[in-house]
Amino acid sequence: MNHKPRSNHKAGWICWLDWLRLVGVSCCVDVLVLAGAALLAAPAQNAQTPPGSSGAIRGIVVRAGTAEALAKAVVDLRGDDDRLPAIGSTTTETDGRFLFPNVRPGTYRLIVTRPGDVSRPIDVTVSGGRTEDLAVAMTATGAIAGRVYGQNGEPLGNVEVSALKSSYQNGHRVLTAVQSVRTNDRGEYRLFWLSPGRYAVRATHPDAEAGPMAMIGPPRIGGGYRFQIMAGGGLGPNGVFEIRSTGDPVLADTFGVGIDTPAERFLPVYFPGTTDDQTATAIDLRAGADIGAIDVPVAPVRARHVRGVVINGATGQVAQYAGLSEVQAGIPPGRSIGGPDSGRLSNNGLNPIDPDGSFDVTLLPGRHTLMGTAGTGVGFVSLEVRDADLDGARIVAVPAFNITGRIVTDAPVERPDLTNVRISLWRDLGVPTPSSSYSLPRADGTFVVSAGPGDYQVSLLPFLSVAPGTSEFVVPVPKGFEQAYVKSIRLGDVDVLNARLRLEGATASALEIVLGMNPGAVEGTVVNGTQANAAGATVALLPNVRGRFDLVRTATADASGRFRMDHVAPGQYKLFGWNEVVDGDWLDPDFTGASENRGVPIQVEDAMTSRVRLALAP
Amino acid sequence: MNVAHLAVVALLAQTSSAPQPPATVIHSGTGQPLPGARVQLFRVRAQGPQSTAPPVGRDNQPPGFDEVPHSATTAQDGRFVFDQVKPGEYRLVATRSGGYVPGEYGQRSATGLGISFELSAGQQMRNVQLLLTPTAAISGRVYDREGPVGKLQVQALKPVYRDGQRMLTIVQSVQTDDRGEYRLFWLPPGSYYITARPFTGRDANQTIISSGVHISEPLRVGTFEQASSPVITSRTLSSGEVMEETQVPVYYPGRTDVGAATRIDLRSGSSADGVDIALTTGVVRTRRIRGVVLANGQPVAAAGLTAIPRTGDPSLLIPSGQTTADGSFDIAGVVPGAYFVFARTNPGMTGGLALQVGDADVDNLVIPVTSGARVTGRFVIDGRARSGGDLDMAVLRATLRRDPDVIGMPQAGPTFSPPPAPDGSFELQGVPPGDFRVSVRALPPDAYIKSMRLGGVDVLDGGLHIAGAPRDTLEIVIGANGGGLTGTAVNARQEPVSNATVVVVPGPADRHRIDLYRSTTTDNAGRFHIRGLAGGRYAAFAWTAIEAGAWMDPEIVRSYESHAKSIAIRDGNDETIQLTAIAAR
Repeated sequence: MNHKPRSNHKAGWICWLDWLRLVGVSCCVDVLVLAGAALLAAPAQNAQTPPGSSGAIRGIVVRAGTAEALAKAVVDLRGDDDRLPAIGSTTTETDGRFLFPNVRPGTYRLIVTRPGDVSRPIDVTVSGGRTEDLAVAMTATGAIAGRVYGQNGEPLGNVEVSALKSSYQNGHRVLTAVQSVRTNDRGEYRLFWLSPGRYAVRATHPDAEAGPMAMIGPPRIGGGYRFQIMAGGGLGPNGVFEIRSTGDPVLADTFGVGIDTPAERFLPVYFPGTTDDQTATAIDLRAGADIGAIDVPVAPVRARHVRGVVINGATGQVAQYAGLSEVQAGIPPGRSIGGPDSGRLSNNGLNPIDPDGSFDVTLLPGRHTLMGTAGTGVGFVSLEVRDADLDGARIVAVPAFNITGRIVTDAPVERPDLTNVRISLWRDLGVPTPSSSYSLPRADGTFVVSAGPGDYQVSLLPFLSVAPGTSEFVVPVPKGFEQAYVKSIRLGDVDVLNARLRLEGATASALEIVLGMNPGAVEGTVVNGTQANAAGATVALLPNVRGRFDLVRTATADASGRFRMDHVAPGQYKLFGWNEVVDGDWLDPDFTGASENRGVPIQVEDAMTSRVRLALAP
Repeated sequence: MNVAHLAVVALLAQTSSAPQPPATVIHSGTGQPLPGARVQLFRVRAQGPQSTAPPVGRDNQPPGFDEVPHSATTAQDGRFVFDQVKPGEYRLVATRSGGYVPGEYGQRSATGLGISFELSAGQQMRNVQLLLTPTAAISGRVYDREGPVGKLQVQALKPVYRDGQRMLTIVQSVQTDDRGEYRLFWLPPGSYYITARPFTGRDANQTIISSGVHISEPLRVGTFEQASSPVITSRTLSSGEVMEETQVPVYYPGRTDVGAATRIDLRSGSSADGVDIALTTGVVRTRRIRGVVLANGQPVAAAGLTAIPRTGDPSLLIPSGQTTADGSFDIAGVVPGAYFVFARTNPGMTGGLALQVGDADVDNLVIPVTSGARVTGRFVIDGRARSGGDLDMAVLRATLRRDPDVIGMPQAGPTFSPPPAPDGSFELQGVPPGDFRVSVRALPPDAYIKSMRLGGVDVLDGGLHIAGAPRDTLEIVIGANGGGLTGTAVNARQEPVSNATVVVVPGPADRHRIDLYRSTTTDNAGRFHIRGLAGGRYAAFAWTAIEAGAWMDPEIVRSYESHAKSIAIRDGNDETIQLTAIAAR
């Protein structure tokens, strides 16, 4: 390490230099970290300083597990609100040091970024003129590299390759793109500066990016014709990005011209070569790893015909003037978000459905759910298109019927008002599809919902969400129901809270929803195998009915290894803990399956706090 | 120039009983047939007059605009066939994905444009050869004193002419990886400069707005320019002073001055490797511009501010900011130099001023914003169209363009004027203060702008300056029956030269008037026709090949002056000349 002498010493610098000397002579990581920790806990350096006076934050950025000081680390000092611009920002030089003098008392968050390294944000409190000393350890990132090639092994250039972080939401694996690069003319790509974690790799051929180009026409001849290429970006107050064409765009736009519906189309392909994101191989990227040969073959797929009929369920006959659309994940059936592939079905430019109720649509390989409508009836069919046409699909469109129900509480509530609670039934179609409508209870708690035959999950906002964590309409909690949870939902004698609600037709049974008013709690301590407290450990409480994602609770152990989870619905659970875990991994059935026997069973009772001591495996 | 490109031959057989036309796409270097190329036949004119190219600078929508082009893919032997082709005027283009410059019928070089041709009923066109030229690549590494630098934007720049100025334009942008390596590819052969710069694809809310990577299939002319935020790094000195810096663009091999950059000449199919850029210079201390935005004397909150450098850089760094509740702003990241500072509010008020930033922050700037001035104008028609009828004034539109028109500047008010009243009067609402160039859309082919005046100011000569609502009316006189120039371009052996560039350049006193320049290309028979010329003396040139727009460079024109033919143009008259095409140097 290189410690340049400073000429402008102030009083506070003396201690700083002492500390650096301590760090400087040690090449042992433990000493460094302990030194930092000791100083963090040190008492105020100047006991006479009044509590309201400004302090300072200083420190050193090192590579985790080493004493190597890191240059080019950008240290941002932020207030409580992450959305506001940084209060201060500084960049380390070869000695890795940083300093924020004259910091007003308060709580701050230090965010350190550096090309090729990552670190967690650090919360720091400044008070009483004290100087806070920090050692920031950064973890090396990793890289994934490979090649994208075509049907004949030829390199494919300008293909977008994305690293997608794998996480679980409500039992479905969700892939979120964190970085995208483009292949060069040799088909090579390199995704880099990736945080350690599990990734899927996806290659998207340019022809698959934004659907077919809408631009049709001959080349524009001559000048005088300015056009914006590569739309996107803009000139915002927070940043500028704009690009426009220069030069005459003659013949610049001939690529992709044509309206002939291509028999073959490109779909995004996931490593090692699947168009189904659920079967993409996850790549485990460790700190500092450089994983090569993640090659992705990209070939066009052929759309196939799917033929069938829509039956009017009321008459049993083939429906006249039926409607047909494709159900898309995350969108209520029958609705569309626009865009080239937004549920609009095509048949090579022909009308996909005849007035006589028979249909013929072209669909790309993969899983699809089609919705047919006839009169007031609605029906669905889920199918998987492979490498051949499909014939004989039948969609029975059945009118919806009413189901009555009521909401009750398991304890008296003074002047209960549940009239703003929203009850809706989410159809289970293999893809998460929100309900397009909801019902409001009457003042006495009774309600009526409408549905057709099918399998459903009951949503009762704000108490029970079918898709927790997704953006849903925010319903305020009624007064007096701050602690309420959904204790049971039954249709007649059938539990439809922990299992799907199956409707085969109109039913005389009523839906009864019981709200529990006295939830339980879980608290405890986490210890490492050595009996030392496991400060910072992540704890997750998983219900035995694993499909109930609404019941999952997580917490972080505090400095003394303690944690607490409030507002837990009574029932059977297992508690898991980890020192290091990727956020949300506990929702991955493969992940928890492997460590299932490490979970501690817990029974949560009404209005009781269950206490537990959780020992982490070494 | 690659001589092989002249090998495009079209034999026109007049009999319909001729064998199928063996039209082919071939590799320009090896002469081998190329399978898998996409060939498209576009109809540009139903069946119009003989190959008269539309005058440059006019909006001229081809009649077949909504027609679907014929499309074919070449077979193993490189052949393609189009049948059932309607009579008309066509252009023929071949493209092949993954490393070939598009080839066009009649082009004179790998990156040159082709020409259109006529197909009449029953005609068969045979023995057409379209040449596809392999692209080239440039690769290297960017490093600073500490080693490789990742996530930099590396751009291939190409010199072009724009409004008579030679400037660089972006052909492709890529990023360096964590090893500092980059590779620019699918580049048409030609001369390039390489630049590296930090690029922030995120705004202040950490939302990814762009990766800064722009790769397209090789284009012959489709280049672009870019505006992005500077990447500011700050260091807190022990004195507590915060020093802000930015890395300005560095040109290969490691210079901040583009004039000192090394040019890379790329030949077809080649790869220039080891084009390493040293980022050991160009860290500049940045300054701040602070001030307040006022509307009617009152501070405006949440107004967006941009400081647009007055340079010819195709990839501008634009510092930006936003006013707080008290109307004040603080723009960081300003490299010393000349700027236009613009303020924009929502909705629609703008204001701006020019300033010079030196080695200190600029404080207490006051930027008034307004909803713009109302500019009234009037079209006056002078003379009668050649057809004998009156010119249809209702189609005319006046348009404003900022002068200079730098990327990132706010729009110059309305894009074009609403239809004029029957007496020719029109008005443009919301014109912001600034300097503008005025042009007229939808001028008929024989018409031209005879004069444009605002009170005593000649707007054609000096541009339109708006400070507030002008008292005078912008009077635009349209000459309905301009002069024309027809003729033929020939070579030294007096043979007609097709696809030659024919240019008329105004007399020495008017060389700054870019509206007076006209260019066109000769057809298959070497003929050309330029219409809508203002009366006066011109110099006419023909070149077998010249870079587009180079004729607006006075130096270039002077160097060819001895080849010029002087012509006098008068309203309503077509002059006829024969030009000897200047061979490519």
